[in-house]
Amino acid sequence: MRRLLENKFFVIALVTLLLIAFIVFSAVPGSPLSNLTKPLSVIIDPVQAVFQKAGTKISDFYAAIAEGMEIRKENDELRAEIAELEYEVQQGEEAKIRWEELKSAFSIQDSFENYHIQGASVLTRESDEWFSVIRINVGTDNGIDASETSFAVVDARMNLVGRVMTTDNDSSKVLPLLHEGFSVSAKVNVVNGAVVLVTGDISLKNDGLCLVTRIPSNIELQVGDELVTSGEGGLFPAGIPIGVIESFDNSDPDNITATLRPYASISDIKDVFIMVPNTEEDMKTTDPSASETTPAPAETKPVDSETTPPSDNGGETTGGDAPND
Amino acid sequence: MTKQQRARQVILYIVYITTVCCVQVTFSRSLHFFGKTPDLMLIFVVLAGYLFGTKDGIAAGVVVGIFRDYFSGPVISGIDKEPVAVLGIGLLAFFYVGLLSSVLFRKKFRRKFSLGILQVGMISLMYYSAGHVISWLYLTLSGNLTEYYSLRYIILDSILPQVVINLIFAVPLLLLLRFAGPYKKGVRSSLVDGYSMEDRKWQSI
Repeated sequence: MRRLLENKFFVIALVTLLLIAFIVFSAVPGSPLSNLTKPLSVIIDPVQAVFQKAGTKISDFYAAIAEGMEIRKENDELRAEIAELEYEVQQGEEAKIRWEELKSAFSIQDSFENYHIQGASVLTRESDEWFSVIRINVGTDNGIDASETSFAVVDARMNLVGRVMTTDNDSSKVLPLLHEGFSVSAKVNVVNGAVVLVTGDISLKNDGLCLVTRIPSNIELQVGDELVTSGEGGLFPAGIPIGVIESFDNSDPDNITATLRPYASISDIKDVFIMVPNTEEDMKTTDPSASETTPAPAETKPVDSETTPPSDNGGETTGGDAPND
Repeated sequence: MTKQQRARQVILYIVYITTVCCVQVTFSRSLHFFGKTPDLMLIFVVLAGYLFGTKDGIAAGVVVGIFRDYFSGPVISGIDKEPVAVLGIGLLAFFYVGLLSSVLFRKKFRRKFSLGILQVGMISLMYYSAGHVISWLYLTLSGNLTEYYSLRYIILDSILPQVVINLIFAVPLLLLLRFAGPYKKGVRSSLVDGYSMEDRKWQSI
């Protein structure tokens, strides 16, 4: 045995085998090895945050010098814009009151009202073509735990960016939309629009495009058609904008495909938002009036009981699996 | 080696590795040239192995590999087609990068400083070629491949610009390792891998 361990080739082969076993075991869903990064995150995240802050300060400093005049001009324009916006806000508030009235009248449900949003900043980006997930600065300490379910990640305009893959104490890994491992059930954003599958594709990701498959044979997608999440599969709530169709290929009737240009510019994105399904407790705390409004007047009770199932479905969708099929 | 020298060496390695890894993943957009970001982690491990031998190369490779897995570890399709984040691929890849960079072309290059850049080019070429081959094989065998990059794209748009950008960024890292440590005068005096005496002669040039 000692002789074997003195043989360099044997040691290298042994280490390789052990590492391969480690890789395979880490890929098993629910593997305890995935928790190994948590102690690492305690050390690495603060160090990396120092680099990020230093970088931001340096770039801010140079930007302040280089763009001083521009900023002053922009400031004047922004002041004027603020005045306009304040007026619009006033109008918006009035419209909001109207909307709330109409909403309660027609029992309209907000697409995303069962979710709350957790903001995050992008900490790190891809290392190369194969190490291409991004890391953001929220983790289990912020109430995001992807060990059992995943979460949709969107940009500031609510466009789909990706999904949370793993979480550590202060940071999480996000699988971006363009990654070849990503897939989401989508639909054309028209009434009764066709349901298709949007996936990342290795040959398209460098052009910033996704692949659209499972297009029904009777459907002809048009360039510019908007796709949104369909809500099937449960991970992503329905209605999140994904992108627009860039090209459509139906030359092979058995394999109709299209390419999609996502709205979210993943390479430039700095801040993202995680859509976290509300728990029952969240709903009670965020909407104290809910408990008051639930006991509806006697004559509206049947309507309430009819509207209960959709909200139940909403609850179910939060805990389901991703539509990766 | 005295305790002080050992401590200096360890501290410098920690500083280098942390800096190189954090800079690459934090400022990848600012370091973008020819559509590629220099792979500082790879360059560092290659140079550590090339200049300071197998032990240093493997040690640097393992630590950098762990960082790589932590920051941006790859995601693969699991058994149920669900994407799974795996750990250890960076560790395995960089273990071999550290090992190979200390062993390959050792007779030809004799650890000459200026040829360290060439070693970076060679190992980069191997790393990215192997990456494409393994990626293609994995996608094909798992049935997830619809279309892979064309050979022209792989050579002209993926590997070549990446190797060129790595070569450029190898120069400052090589100078850093030569003049700032982790070893005095950039020479590991205890290097005993069969060419130590000649190595030292070449390294001093």
